[in-house]
Amino acid sequence: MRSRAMPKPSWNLEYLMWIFTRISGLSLILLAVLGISLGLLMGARTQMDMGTLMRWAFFPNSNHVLDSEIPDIFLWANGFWQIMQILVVVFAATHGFNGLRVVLEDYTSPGFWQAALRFLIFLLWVFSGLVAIYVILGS
Amino acid sequence: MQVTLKIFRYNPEEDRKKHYDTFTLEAEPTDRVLDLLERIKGNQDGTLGFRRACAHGVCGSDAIRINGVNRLACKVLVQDLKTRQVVIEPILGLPVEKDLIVDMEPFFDHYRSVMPYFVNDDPPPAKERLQSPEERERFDDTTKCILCAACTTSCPSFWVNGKYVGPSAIVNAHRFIFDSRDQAAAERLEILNEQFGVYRCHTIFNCTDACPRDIQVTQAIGEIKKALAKGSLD
Amino acid sequence: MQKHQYEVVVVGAGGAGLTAALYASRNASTAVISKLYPTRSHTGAAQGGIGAALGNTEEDHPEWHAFDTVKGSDYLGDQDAIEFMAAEAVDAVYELEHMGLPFSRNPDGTIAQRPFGGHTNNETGKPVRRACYAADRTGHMILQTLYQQSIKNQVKFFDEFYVLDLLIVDGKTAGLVAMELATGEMHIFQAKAVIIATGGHGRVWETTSNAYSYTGDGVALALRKGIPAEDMEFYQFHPTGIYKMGILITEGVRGEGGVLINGEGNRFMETYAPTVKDLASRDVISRAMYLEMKAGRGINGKRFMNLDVTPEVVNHYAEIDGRKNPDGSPYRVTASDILAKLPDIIDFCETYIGVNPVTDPMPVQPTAHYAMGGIPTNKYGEVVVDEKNTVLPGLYAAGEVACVSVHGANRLGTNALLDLVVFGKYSGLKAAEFANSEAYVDLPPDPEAYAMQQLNAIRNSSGKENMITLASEMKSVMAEHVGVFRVEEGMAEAVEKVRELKERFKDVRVDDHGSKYNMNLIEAWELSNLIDIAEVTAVSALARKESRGAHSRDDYPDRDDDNWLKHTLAWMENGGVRLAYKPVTMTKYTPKARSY
Repeated sequence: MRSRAMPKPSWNLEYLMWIFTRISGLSLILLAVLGISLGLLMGARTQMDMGTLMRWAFFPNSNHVLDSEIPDIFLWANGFWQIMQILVVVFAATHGFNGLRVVLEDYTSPGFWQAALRFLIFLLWVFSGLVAIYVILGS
Repeated sequence: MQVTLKIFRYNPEEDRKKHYDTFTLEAEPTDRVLDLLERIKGNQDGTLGFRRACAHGVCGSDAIRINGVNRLACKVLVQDLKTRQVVIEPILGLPVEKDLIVDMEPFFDHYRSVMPYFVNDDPPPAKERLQSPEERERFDDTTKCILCAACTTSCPSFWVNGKYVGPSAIVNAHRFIFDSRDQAAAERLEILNEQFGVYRCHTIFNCTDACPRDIQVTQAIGEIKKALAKGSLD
Repeated sequence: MQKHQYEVVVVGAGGAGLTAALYASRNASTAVISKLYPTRSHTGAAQGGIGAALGNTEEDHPEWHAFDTVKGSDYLGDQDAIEFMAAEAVDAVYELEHMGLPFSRNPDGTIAQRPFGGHTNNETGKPVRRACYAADRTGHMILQTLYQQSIKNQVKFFDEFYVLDLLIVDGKTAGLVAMELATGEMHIFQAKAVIIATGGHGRVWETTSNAYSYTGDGVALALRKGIPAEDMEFYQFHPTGIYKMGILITEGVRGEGGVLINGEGNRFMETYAPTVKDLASRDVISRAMYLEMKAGRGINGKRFMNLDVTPEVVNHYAEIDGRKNPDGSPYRVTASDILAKLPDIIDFCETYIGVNPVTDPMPVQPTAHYAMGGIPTNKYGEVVVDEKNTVLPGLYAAGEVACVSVHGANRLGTNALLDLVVFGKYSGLKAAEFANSEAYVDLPPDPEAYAMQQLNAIRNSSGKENMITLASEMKSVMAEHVGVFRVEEGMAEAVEKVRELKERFKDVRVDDHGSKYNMNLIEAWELSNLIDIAEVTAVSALARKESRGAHSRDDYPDRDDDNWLKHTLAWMENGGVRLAYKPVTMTKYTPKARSY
């Protein structure tokens, strides 16, 4: 016998990625705002040009500070910013590659080639994520 | 006043490619675009193909593109056009059969896929099932759908991939999901939770603009996404 | 050419066709053939409500409903069928509700009901709330619900197939010939039972509330096969169509308290129907409007009246009438009440005439609306072909195309939707029952020959005559002489004119010679149907020398029960029309003078 009671719908990839896309999109904006705000507090207001600040905002890596007039990059290069960078990379890469997957599924039909391309996208996602983390932790 | 209609033409039985024909005729400001098509067919070219029935916006036969936007030909008056040059084309995303007539089967297949019918397995009472005016109001907006396909064929996600169920099918699922008497909400939500269900909606709002019945289509789709995320209908 | 075999084939997918198919398909293999996608059917344009004596807000009884219908029919309705329909109405509405139809609701959760023309409390004579409604789109909801249930029950549809011929072999139904519009291909359907549910023929007249598709296909199909048409002179003109366009403004507007106002600012229905005023039956109001306009009291002397549902006017007249809510408080409305109860009407008026009915009156005139006449049937939908009501085995008709007759000389508002579901249901059940006990009748050797012969006649005509010209000449002569008021000379002129048009139709021009979606050819065919129906209508009307219901004559202004309390039967024979008459079935209601 059926009733109005509703079991929670199953959690499939589409549902999870739809939620993730929304959360990660918002998070990326928040992370950028946080990067700009803290950067300004740490001296960017007088010692950094706009372009450099923006690079910092969207990828808070201390290498970006080297050619600015910041005298001491101690505040700009520590574990906190490495975690921030990893979050940015994971959110951006996953958000972007998932978008690529949706486009792929729009323009191809199920079959070998779609599966192959999907796998390629998966590999690219893993690869770019690993490379980025290696760079972050190594700098 | 004189009005010029540039109409998309395609006849698969002739060798000619898809093209446009231009017709000029006298019109009153209060004429419907459908009236103009009828007059062209009657006096200038009897081969012009288009669908129509009720001619006042309740049957959903004559969804076409008028100057680039999806409208019912019977609900747009000459005075609403704000131009005397009118481009008339078939709705997009469905195969053109002849002139303005498109194959509606893919559209109805999507409609049929969402269980667009009342389900309640309890034995019916001797009289009506009770429903409060508030419960009835909850799904009122989506009961207005006339299946004209104006929304679905205005949706870029549908243009890109015809497997997307499209706004109209979702609207018709919404009509039952939020009906307090119905018992198959979970099954319909499961259908819409799939790859070509609600997640293909990128809130572009073309559908809401196209709807000749003023249904808040994007909002209805949003309510379904919300129900999926919350796992409840409240 | 393709061949199909189904035990029951339904022609038409509106309210009657879909109901018939739902019931027939329970017990027999069933297919529905329709020239439109089912949801395009004209049932969807019905607005105000479906009549049933549920008594949800005040006392009501099926017997009252039956009497109101008999009286509304001007005593021409068959009383056994009317009693049957009124008794079945209550269950029919509950059944629709159980199928999920989203009726508007009362605060206690029951189906909401509103007053409608001619429906009264038989003790007080005051209007009664009997019309079950879903805002002002009741027909839309019925059509959608029936189509939804058809999908659920996997009914087989042949959408956009146009029926050209009915196959009758040795007086028995054998099947149908249809053309697939998408390809132009001919299809033969062998069937044990055929249910015709193709709707009406309002396109015969100039100003009409009817769809382009309402071209009398079913009646014409039957007439060409020697089946008579019953009571064709009785055609309803709805009092309130939008001026010049004919788009229907539901009687529900007056049910909610709207009033008709003439050019002098008076509520003229007080004079013509002192008890129920603006909720008199449709023939009475259309006639009153005609008389007012003839006396120069149209708005600005023109041929329209104002229908006013602005809250000030509604409340003003509600106070004068002493109208009460079900709880006894005085009846008053606000702008938002009007908006909630009549959303589509407001949309039509704003779209087509730039008038907002909440603040301004609507210009209205009588509009051709509904065929009381049609293919004669008994109360089970079985087609009867002569004065003795002999059944033609295997042939059924239901809905507007049929004449049971429950509407007699004038239909009451809300009884059309009721007719669809009640007689749709019984024709479906009876057809399946018949199919279960009978074998298929062998098809004739060339089943498509007659259809092809007619098609070729159109295709190979000289092409001298423009279709639009022929149609508009027919519409204008019928509107002028076989409309709301009729006289001998006018109708004689109409008969002559229509016969001339019939002759000229042989030279009709068809531009399209293709086979895919050749709508041009189909429209020519539809016009030939309309011309046949116009002829039968005009001849039937000319012969009836009395005024009754919708058939109202200046030269015979009174009802004449001694000579004319009988149904007209009209056959198309030898290039003309032959008339005969059959008695009206009476039970307990004896004809009385009709006043509202």
